[in-house]
Amino acid sequence: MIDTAPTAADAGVPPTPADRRSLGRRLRRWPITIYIGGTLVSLFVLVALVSFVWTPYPPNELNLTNRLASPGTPGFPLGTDRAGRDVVTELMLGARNSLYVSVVSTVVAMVVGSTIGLITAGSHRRVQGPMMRLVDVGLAFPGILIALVLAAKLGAGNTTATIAIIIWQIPVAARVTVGPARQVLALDFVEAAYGYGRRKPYVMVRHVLPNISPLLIVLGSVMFAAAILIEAALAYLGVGVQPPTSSWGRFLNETQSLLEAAPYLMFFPGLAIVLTALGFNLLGDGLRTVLDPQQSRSGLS
Amino acid sequence: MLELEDLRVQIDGREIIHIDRLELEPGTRLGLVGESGSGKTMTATAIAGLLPDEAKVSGSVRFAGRELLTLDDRQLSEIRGRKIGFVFQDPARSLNPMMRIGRQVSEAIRLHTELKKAAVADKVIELLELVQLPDPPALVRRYPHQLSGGQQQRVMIAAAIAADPELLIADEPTTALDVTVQEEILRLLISLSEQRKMSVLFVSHDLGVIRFVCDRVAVIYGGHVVETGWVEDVIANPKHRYTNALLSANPGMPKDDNFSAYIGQRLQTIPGSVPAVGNFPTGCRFRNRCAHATEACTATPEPVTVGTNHRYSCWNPAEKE
Repeated sequence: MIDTAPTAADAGVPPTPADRRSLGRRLRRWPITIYIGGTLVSLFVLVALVSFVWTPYPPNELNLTNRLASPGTPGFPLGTDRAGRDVVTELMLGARNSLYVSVVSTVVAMVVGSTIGLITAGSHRRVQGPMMRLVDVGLAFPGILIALVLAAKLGAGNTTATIAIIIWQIPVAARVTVGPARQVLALDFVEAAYGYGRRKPYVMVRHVLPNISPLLIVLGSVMFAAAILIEAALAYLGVGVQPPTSSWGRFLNETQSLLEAAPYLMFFPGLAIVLTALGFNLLGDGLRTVLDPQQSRSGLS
Repeated sequence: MLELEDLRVQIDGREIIHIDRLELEPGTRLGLVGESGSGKTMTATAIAGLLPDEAKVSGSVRFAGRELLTLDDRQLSEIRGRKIGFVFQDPARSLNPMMRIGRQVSEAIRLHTELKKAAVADKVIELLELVQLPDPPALVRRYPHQLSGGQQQRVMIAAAIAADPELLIADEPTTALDVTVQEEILRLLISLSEQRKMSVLFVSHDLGVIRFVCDRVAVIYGGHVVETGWVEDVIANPKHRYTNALLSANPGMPKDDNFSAYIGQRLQTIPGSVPAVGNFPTGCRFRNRCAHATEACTATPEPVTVGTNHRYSCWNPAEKE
């Protein structure tokens, strides 16, 4: 607004808190976990994306003359593995695979799981009980077992790993959605929406969903971390991605036998997994603080 | 235009509301008054089927010649917002915190009319002007928490009347507001009702507010209408002992503006509180708290009519002072 002369109308509507607070001050109010988590996560995503256009060496290029080069060897900052593959290249390709599996599985599990959660929350209480128990049964299922059974049926691979993670995470997303959705459904503005003549599906999508979206964002971030860990675990167990595609879990598995000859080799994929999972967890934690209506005056009050 | 007959609401097998008869004439304002827990809000919400799933409703609610209780959810949703508007008690909680004001006000219009986007936006501005909010074009972009309580309630009213309903159900619309804002909102409701020939069902625990707003009043206790009539008749000549007790508990109505008479006087109260559902005594539901209960009160009192349309159900009615 160019016309800055204060008018009676302006005085009648208080300015938004955001108008008054500068961006810098709001940034400083954010917890440190957001910055650390955000940095780690962006680094991970960046590395994975860069691997599509550039890696130090072409994927799976074997430098047979330079097998098991130690870190710091010219041309191989983190050394090479037993077959003479550059570790940096391997890690970048592993990040790509991790990103791919975790994005697909988290998005699908979130969409399906939270939809189930919303439907459960909105259903009649006689339907709600059995639905909740069904979700609990799903939660009680050991995820690794699902993956192993699937691998026996479909064969090992990225698809199997992705499907296993989805099946594993759907009940989690559903369970976490139900409670807050029911809380929102009990609020007055939901009744007001019925008062305008709105019906349940609309109320669910336009009123309940936006009000639980902070929770879903946090949940998504935590599920991402879980997906990365599970993907690595499945690849390590040989249920996940198969050679020649690189993966942190598989890298870990391959270097295991070199524990005595080159113990540092296990360190790199391990560190990558830990930092990425930590990054998503920290980000989720920080987002929870920022998005929590109880702690921020600009949210629900 | 609105007639309730033998309306019963049961939750978990317990009868919470039983209203023999209650009618609202077109263009008039009816007040429902009673203590907390007397069932006035439930009565108001039962009319348009907004009660929770577990409530069983029987009897008859006729609105503009249509029986509402037999309608299914889809048919009811066409009446809600379009024919019957709602204003709830706490405006801060009745507005979706994640939705801009403009969108909330336009809900009913978008739902019940075929207007184009630009026409809807114009209509929203018009409505916000009608409820006397400042700077509507800027306001539509705000979120509820950026408004004061009074402004929020005006927004709620604008949203409730957006599709031009014939009946407005206002459930304690000013309870959450402070007294000065309260009067403004009440005046707004009265003028909207008069301009648009819109009936109002006004729920309140405050007889003073009811007298200010309404033409007729129904006093509710324990889910029963214990007395109903023209507001002035009921206040000048309360028959039911509960109405009488409610009036004596309100110090805001000196009989001849003689405030000095109040000084040093104890405020009258009604002993005890409304019993929990299922714990009402047999016969007259008020008798265990009534200072004038007699033997006869153990039997259910029959409605008695006095004057014009003034009905009450009391065995030992108060005499005119």
